[in-house]
Amino acid sequence: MLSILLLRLKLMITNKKLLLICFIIPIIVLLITGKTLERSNENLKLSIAVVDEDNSRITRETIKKISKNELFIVKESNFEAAEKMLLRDDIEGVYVFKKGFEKNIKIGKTDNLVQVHYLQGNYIAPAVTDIITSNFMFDIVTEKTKLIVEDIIYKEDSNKSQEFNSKFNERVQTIHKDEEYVLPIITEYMNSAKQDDKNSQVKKLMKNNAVNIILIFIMLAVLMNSMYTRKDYNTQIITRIKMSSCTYLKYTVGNIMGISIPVIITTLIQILFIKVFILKDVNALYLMFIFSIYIISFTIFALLLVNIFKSIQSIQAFIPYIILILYILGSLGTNIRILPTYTIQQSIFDYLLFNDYGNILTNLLYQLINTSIYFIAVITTGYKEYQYGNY
Amino acid sequence: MEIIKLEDISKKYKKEKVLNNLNLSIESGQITGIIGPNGAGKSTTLSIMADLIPYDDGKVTYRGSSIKDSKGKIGFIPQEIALYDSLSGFENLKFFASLYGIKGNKAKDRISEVCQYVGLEEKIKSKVKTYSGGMKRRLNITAALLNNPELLIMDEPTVGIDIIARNNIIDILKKVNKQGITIVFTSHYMIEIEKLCTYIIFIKNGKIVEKGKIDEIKNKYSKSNLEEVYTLLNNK
Repeated sequence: MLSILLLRLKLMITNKKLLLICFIIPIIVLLITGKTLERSNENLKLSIAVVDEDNSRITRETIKKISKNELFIVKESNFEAAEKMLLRDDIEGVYVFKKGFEKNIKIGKTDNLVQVHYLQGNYIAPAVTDIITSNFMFDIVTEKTKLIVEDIIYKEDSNKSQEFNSKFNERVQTIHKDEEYVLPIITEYMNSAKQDDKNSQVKKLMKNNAVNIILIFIMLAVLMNSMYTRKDYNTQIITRIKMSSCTYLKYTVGNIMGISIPVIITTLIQILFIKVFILKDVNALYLMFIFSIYIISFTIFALLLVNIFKSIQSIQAFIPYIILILYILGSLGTNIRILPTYTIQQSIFDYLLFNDYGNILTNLLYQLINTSIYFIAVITTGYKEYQYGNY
Repeated sequence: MEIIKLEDISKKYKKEKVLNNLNLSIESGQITGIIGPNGAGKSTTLSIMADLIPYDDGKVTYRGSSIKDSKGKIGFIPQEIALYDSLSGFENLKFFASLYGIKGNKAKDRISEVCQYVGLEEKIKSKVKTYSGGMKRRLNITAALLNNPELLIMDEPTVGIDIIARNNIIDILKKVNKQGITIVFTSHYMIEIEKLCTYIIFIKNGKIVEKGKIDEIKNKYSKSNLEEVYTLLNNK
């Protein structure tokens, strides 16, 4: 078994075409698509200029937090420079944090804190203002909330409205008067989950894209390596294997490990590449774990295809039908619960990736069931040819 | 003393009967050539001798015991070049040696020994795809000698190579035989059979039509060479 494993490793290393397909091309594609998506991410960002007239702790912190937000490209400058940028249409708007910003917030005065300048007809700047105010300015939000609640809920009950107003004001005033609470509240809003969601869309897209590219090349590498095992039969190498003490079980397990291990290694390198160059926050260990199980499972599935179709041409011709079968099995699985909805549903990539990282234990269990079925099928279909083939 | 014996062997592929109550025995130390037209059942006979395929009826014994006990004692050289051409000759031999449990320094020593034997030491580190047809054939034979077999079964070992390479292989096989290894092989080249074999078996339609020492058969049919005997038997 170890001999077969080492043989497959060696065959993969010495096969330039396989190396190119399994290792070099995916990295190039990952690099190109990663950079392209990064650029489209840049295009989605809004450029704004901020002028900090107050230059207080709160304004500095606020500007810092806005700059960190991936929705904006923030250019800090004086008003004159900012105005020039605005006229050149380099930015969407100028946000002037007016003198007395911190002082006014502390005493609960929440109006006229930030002055916005934008070109006539530019509707992005007011929208940006909304984003900044709703996400970064606790005070403005509280004022807004008060008005909305007054307007909608207590519209027809003036007593309740009055009661709400006094209690709300009391609370807001208390918070604002206490210096210790002002900044943490603002900071807290900046790090809110809602904001993260908005920012992570592009990242999610990049992550899915990268994972899909890796998956496509895993499939290619595994299929190509599996097809290569047919050479054993076509050149009658199998007679030598059969005449030794190598049983069909050992031969198959050796093939499975020999095909999957190099693909697992190259995938690991690709994931590390993604982590270092494209998506720093990707959970490499988790991805690797999922990919490893998938690679082993898909290797057995590929060997099953090879056993059934025998020639490379037949397998290639059958690939569209395989995808179709997976779709059909997926919908059957949803209805009659024979096959797991997580493993075969919606799309082939969902099937491969446990459907958006759902419950990992359930997914693993299903994947193991599938793998066991594939393994039994491989042994059953291949044994006959190994044992009784026409040599 | 007979090394391998086939008794009343019958074999069908689907509905077609390939071997029909075939009886033959191979004497130890001999070089036996199995000849016959295409589709006569030569390759099937060899595969059954090597225990590669099952048979429908009959019995195969190796030195009086079941053929199943012969594992590791028989070397088989298929008609195809059963090698990985993207690997070097050495890597191929190392892999085949490992299948027989010959590993590490023991494998290196054995590879070097057999390579010297067949004259492949120089190019053994080169990839098989860079070898000439004759060299590939020699390496194909080398791989079957790694486990030091008692019986070497070969299915057309010289097909597709030039006369010089073929003569080279004949010399190697004579050397192998001198080491005490029994050889059974098939070939369509009668000159090669005459040069190498002491005994021949002519198979046609899954049955033995003629067998015996080459000179005796030639005398029996009053022919000067084996090719004429072959043509006569084939047209019979």
